[in-house]
Amino acid sequence: MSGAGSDEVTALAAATRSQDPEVGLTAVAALRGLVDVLEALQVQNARAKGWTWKAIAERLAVSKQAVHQKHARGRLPRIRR
Amino acid sequence: MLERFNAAVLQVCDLACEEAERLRHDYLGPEHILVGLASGSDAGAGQFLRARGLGPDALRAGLDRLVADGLLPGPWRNQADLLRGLGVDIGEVRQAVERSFGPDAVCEALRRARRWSRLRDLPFLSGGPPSPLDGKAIYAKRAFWLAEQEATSLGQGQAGLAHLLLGVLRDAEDPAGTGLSRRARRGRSYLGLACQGPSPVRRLVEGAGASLADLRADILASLHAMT
Repeated sequence: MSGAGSDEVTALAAATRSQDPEVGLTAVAALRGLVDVLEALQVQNARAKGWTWKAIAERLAVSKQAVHQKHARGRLPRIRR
Repeated sequence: MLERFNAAVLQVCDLACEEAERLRHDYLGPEHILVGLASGSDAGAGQFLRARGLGPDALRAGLDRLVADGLLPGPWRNQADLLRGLGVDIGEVRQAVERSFGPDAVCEALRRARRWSRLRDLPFLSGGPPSPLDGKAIYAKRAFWLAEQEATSLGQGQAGLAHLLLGVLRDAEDPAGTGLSRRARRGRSYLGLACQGPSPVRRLVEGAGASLADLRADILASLHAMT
C-alpha cells in the first residue's frame, strides 16, 4: 500500500509478531479473510474443471459434506433465529 | 448504487477514499464522506460546511481525535499492513490470482465468500467482515440510501451534494450501526468501529460546535430557496 513508509512497515511487522493479542488476532482474522476468498476461487476453478466434491474435499482435508455445504451454488444458507 | 447521483458526488467519493486512506481505514464511512464534502471545491455543500466551522482541516483534526480516543480504528488495524507483517503482500496476491484466473473470477470468489449478504432485503446492509482482497468496505450505504430518499421527497430526480450531505446528517441522527444486522454489526466491530453510542459524524459536528438539526434546517431552507 502506498501510504506506509519502510520504517512503518518494519514497525508493523514487529507489532504483528508481538505478543499483543489484539494485534495478533486481528492479523489472523485478516489472513482468514484472504484464505476464504482463495478457497472459493480454487473450489470454483476445480468444479469448472469437473472435479467432484469428494475430490475437492480430500484436497482441502475436510468432509465432502462440509465442502458442499460451504460452496455448492444456489443453496441458501441456513437461517438461524 | 450511485446511478441516481451526479458526477460531483463521485468526485466527493474519491476525496472520501483519500481521507480513509490517510487514516489507513479499511472502510469508507459517512465520516469520510463528510470530509470529502467539506474538501470539495463546489460552491454548495463544501462552502456551506466551511462557513459553519466544518472545513476539511477542522474535520480531519476531529477524526484524529476520535482515533486517539479509540472511537475510530487506529492505523494499526489496516489489514494489508497486518498481512505484510506476516510476510504476505496483498497487492501481489491479488495481481497473481487475477493473472491466473481473471478479474471476473476473483470478483465472483469475493462475492461467494460473502454470499450471505445476498439475503438482506435492505439496500444499505452489508455482510460480514470484509476480506483484505476486497478493497474498502462501504459503510456509508445508509447515508446514500437516505440521500436518495431526500432527493425523492424534494421531488428532484437526480441527487447531488446537498442531498448527500442531508443523507449523511440524517444517518448521523441515529446511533452508530442503526439498522444493521447482527452479522453486519460483527463486521463493523471487527474493523474497530463502535456499534452503539453517537455516530462519528455526530461527534464531529457537535465537536465543532454545530448541531445536526440546525445544519439540516439550513440546507433544506437553501434548497427550497433555489427551487
